[in-house]
Amino acid sequence: MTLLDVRTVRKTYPGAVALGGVDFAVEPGEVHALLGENGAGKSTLMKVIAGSVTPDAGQIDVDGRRLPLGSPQVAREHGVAIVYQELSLVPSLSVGENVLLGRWPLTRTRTVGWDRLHEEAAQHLARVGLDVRTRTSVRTLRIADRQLVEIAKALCDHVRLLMLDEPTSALSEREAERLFGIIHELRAEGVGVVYVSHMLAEVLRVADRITVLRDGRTVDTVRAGDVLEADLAQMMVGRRISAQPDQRVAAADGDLALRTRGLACRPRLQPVDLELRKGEVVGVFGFVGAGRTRLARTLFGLEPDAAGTVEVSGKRVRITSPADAVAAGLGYLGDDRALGIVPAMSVAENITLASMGRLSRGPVLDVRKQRELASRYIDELAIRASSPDQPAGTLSGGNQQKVVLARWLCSGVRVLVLDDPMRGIDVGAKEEIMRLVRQLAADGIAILYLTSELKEAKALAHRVLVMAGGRIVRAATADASDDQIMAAAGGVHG
Amino acid sequence: MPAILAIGQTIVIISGGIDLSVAATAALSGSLMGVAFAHWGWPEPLALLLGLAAGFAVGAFNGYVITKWRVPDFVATLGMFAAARGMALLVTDGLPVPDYSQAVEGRTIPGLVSTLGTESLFGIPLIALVAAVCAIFAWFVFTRTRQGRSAYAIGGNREAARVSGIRVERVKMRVYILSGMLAAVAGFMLVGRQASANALMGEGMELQSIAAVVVGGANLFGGEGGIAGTIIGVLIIGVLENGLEILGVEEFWQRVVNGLIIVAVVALDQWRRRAIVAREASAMRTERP
Repeated sequence: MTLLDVRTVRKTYPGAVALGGVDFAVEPGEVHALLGENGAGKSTLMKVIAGSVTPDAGQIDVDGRRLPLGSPQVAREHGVAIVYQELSLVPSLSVGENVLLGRWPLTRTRTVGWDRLHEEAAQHLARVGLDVRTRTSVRTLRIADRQLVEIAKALCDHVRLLMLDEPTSALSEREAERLFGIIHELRAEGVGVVYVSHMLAEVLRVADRITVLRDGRTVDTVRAGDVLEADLAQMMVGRRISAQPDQRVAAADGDLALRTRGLACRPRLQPVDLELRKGEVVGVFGFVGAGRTRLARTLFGLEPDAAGTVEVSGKRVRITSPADAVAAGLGYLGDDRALGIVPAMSVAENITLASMGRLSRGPVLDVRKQRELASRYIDELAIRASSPDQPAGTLSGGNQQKVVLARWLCSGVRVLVLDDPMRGIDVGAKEEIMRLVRQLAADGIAILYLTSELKEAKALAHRVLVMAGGRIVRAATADASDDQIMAAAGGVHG
Repeated sequence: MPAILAIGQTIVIISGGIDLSVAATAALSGSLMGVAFAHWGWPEPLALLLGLAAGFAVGAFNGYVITKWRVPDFVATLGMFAAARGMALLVTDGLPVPDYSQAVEGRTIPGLVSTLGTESLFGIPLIALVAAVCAIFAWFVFTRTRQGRSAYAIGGNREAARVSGIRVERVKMRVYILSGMLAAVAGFMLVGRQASANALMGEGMELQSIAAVVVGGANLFGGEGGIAGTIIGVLIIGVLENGLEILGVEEFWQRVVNGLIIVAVVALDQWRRRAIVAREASAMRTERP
C-alpha cells in the first residue's frame, strides 16, 4: 500500500500561490526527492505533510488513513517526522537527553531514569551509525553529527516517513556519504524518505524517484535512472541551461593584492602564508572543520587572538576588527546569509552599509546620493528588487547574496573573501553568482573563494589550496585531479 | 518628561538594547543640578552642566559595562536603575531640594529650569517644546546620520553591521550616552515642573518609556521603529492615563493597569510580528529568484 498519498493540495498566501494543486506519493522503502528552485513550494509541501502548515484544500493519506490537515501532533502519531535545515537541538543538553527530548523515561519516583534514557538513546544512535557517548553535550558535536542526532531523535517515534530538508547543505562530501548510507539502511527497513535538495547529482544518487516542483505545481515525477542532471535542471527552471563552458579568466599576473605571513589563530588555524594577485581567484577547499571559515574570519579581524602579518596592495595593515579590514579594502561574504544583510533595512541602505563614510558630509548622510549609488548597483548586478527602498529581508536568497556583493563593490573592495557563498541557493542564482565572481575578478579584484564543494572551487579558481586540520596541506592548479585533491583534504599527505 | 525619556529609549531599543536606568538617571541629574545650585551655591550654567555631565557619565558607564565587560544590556542598566537612584538619595540626603536648612540664601531652583517647567508660549507648554526639539534632534540623528543608521543596522543584524566595518562597540556606547543625556534633560524638566528636586521623582517612568516605544511600533528586540511612532505611543499612553483619572480610577489601580498594558502591548506586538513573519515567509517562498 502507498505509504504517503498527497492529493491536490492547495495553499495560497495573500498575493501568492505556494502550492497550486500538488499530488505527491511515497511508497514504503522509497527515497523520493523533491526538487525545485527557491520558491517552488518544496518547503510548503513538506510542512503541509508534517502538519505545521494548514493547506486550503487537499487530502493526505498515510498508510491508507486520512490525516486531519494542519495537525503536527496527529502527523507525528502516524510516524511522519521532519528534520529541518536549521537544527532544533538544545546545545547545552546531552546527546541522550536530546534524542529523547520530550519523552525522557521516568523512574517510579517520577525522577528521570538516566540509565534507561542513555540506554535507549544509544540504541537509536546505533541505528544512524553515530558513535558518540550519549552523555556528551550536543554543543561539542560537529554539525554533521548533530544532524545524525536529529535523525536519531526523529527515528525514535517509530517513524514511517522521514522528511529531510536540505540535509547535506552543512556537510562535507564525506559526511554526506555517511548520511546516504544511513538513508539506504532506513529504506531497507521500509521507511519512506522525502529528500529535499538543490544538488542534482546528489539527488540522482540517493533517490529512487524524483518529483520536480515549479511555481507551486508538479512538473513531473520521474525515476532517477531515467534522467540526467541536465534534464532535471531544465525541469526545475523551465528553460535549458547551457552546459557551462570554462569561462575562467586567463591566469592573473597582476600586482600582489594580498599577502599574509604566518596568519594564524591557534590552535584551530596554523600559520598560513597566502599570496593573491589582482584579478586572481584562489580557491580554498576543505571539508567542514578543516579551518576554512576560521581562515576567513581571522583574515577579516573577526577572531580575537590572531597572529601574523597582512599586506594589502603591498602595504602592511593591522587588522584587529572588521572595521580595520574594511578600511584596508577587504570584503567578506559569509556562508550564513543572515550574517550578510540587515533584513529590516532597505536594499539601498544594505548596499551602502560599508560605504557610509564616503556618503556623508561630516556626520550627516547624503540620502539622495545613497539611493543613486544603490540604484546603480541594483541595475549592474540585476538584483531583483521592486525599488531601492524594499526591505532587503523580503528578497530571495540569491538576491540577498547579490546585495552583499554589491555592498563590497560599492565600498571599493580590493580583496574579497567569499566563504561558501553558494550554500543553500538555487541553480539559477548560483549561475549568476558564479558569473559575478568571474566579472569581479576580471575587474581586478582578488578573490579568496573558500568552499567545501570541489566542483565550485575548480570551476572558478585559478589555483586551489587544500585545507585540512587547520593548515594548508596542498597547493594545486585548477586542473589537478579530483581524487588527488580529495585525498589531500582527507588528510593523506604526499 | 515621559516623552523625552521615551525618545532616548527609542534609540536604545532600536539599536538592540534596553535602558532601564533612564528614570533613575533623570532623578540623579535633576537632584545633582538642584543641590549644586541651591545648596552649594554654584552658578546656574555650571549646575546645569553638572546635571548633564551626570547623565553623560551614567550613559557612558552603561555603555562601557555592556560593550567592554559584555554584561547584557538588561542587566547592566537594571544595576544602574538601582545605583543611580541610590546616588540621587545620597546627594539629596533623601530630602526635597531646596532644603531650606541647607540652601544658600535666596536660592531655590535655576530660573531657566523653572521657566521651561512651568510657562507656556502661545498656549503651548514649554516642556512640550523642549520635548519636540529633542524629538526632532533624535529623528535627524536617526534617519540622516551615519551614527544613527549604524545604530539601526546593529539592532537589525549585529553581525552584518560588524562585518560591514561598523564599530559596534563605539556606536552602542554613543547610544547609551545619548540616552543618559536625554534623561538628564528630562530630569531638569521634572525639577522645573515641581519647582523642586527629589531623589524619588520619575519613579516608574522607565517602564512608561518602554511602553511608549513599543506602543509606537518599535520592535522590542531591535532593528525596527522610529521616533515618530514613539511620540504617538507617548500620546496614547498619556491619553489613557488621563482617561483613567477622569473616570475616577484610583491611583493604585492605575499602576496595575499601566503594568498590564506593557505586557499586553508586547504580547500583541509579538503576535502581530508572527503574523508578519508568516506572511513574509510565504511571500519569499513564492517570489521568483
